[in-house]
Amino acid sequence: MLLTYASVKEQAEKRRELTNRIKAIIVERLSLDIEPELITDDQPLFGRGLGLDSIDALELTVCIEDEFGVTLYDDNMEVLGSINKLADYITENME
Amino acid sequence: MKTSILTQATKQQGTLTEVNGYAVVSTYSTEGAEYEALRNGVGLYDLSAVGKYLVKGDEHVEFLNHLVTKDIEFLDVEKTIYTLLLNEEGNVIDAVTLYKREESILIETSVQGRDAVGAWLEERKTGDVEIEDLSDALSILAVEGPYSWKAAAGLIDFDISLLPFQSFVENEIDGVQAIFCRNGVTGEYGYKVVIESEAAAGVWEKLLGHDASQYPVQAVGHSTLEVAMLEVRQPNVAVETADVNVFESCLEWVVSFYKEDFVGREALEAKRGEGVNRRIIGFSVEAGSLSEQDSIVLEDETIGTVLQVRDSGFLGKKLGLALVDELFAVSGIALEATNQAGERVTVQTISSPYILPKSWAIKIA
Repeated sequence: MLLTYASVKEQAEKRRELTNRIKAIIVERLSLDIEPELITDDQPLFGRGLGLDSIDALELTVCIEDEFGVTLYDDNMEVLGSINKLADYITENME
Repeated sequence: MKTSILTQATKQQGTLTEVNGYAVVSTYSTEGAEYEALRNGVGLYDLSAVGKYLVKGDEHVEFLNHLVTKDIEFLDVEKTIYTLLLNEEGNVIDAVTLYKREESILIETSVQGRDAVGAWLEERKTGDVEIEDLSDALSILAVEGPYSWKAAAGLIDFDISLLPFQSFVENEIDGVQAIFCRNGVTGEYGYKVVIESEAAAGVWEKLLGHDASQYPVQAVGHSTLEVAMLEVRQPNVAVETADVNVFESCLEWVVSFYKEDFVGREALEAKRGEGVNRRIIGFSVEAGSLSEQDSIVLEDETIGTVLQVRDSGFLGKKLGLALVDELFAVSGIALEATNQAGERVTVQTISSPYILPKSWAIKIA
């Protein structure tokens, strides 16, 4: 596949739009005291990273389903590893 | 180069390498065997070369709170926090772990940042604080891996499952006062022991002597540790902050932006105002050779530089970090790199964590 500047740029912009939307949703639904743009795509969401806990995980599951129509299962912790992991999962599972 | 007592006593046939004038063991056996222990059993590593500074005195919390990017004003005793030290220009001096004790705070630096942090503390010191350099007197050794809690449990006399992440206790280990902490850098369960250097080799042998019949137990060198850190995007100051600012390194999560004041804050705000034009992104390479400093390209345009390339034992391919134009610093796209031979190599930007640590599916019993 030929990688052109324009086609990759378009793909990147689309991805950025999705990660920005996820960040905004997380901040709003979990009432986080942080500007969405200060959340980075690869930082851990739990523990040392954004500091979310298991209650937040439940809320996160609900709001991802509400906003994207995608179901998260509690046996798939990898999806909650970072904004990027969430974005990958949403992209793969959105109808 | 300066070799610590613990490193001298335990390096065996390991390969020593110099970091900032200090000896660290790069590899004890093979990266493959060490990686296997770290990701599937127990990996023991030597952090004796890192800097350890004890800060005390009436104003020690205020003093350090002014220097670090996280808010530590209300940090509880027996808790640790991972934070950055910035200079006035907002550039990273080091990423450090603080241990909040009753009357003092112990700072653990990287090996790379050991001298710079010591010099910075002395430079900024005020009359109300005392700073003690315990870098030689104390050693830190660490165990990580999905079963590290089983090995570490042998050092303490309480239920290890009760120790929360980023917490520590001050206990005696074999009659010597020590800090026993739950913390790590690989995404696996991790524990650290901070103890007098003379007593460290004994703890090392005890941990290494843990029953290895069910899973591997092995000393792990810094080379393997760096790969494991990369796999979960644990910041590696030596790679990610040289001539790269906090935003470009994607280290915003280690900064409390609501905190009113700390050294470097104004400069950070100025950098933020200027906008972020490039960022670090992780990538994998299926085929082809790639080295640090190779260019990331699209058609005829250079859009970035490779900062790090390592073999991931788990993924069976190369993993790396590149500093690329902000526009392309997203996961899930293909880019190209030009290698030393002038060949084009396809790199795929990927999402962290790049592997799923086994510890995430194991409960501490």
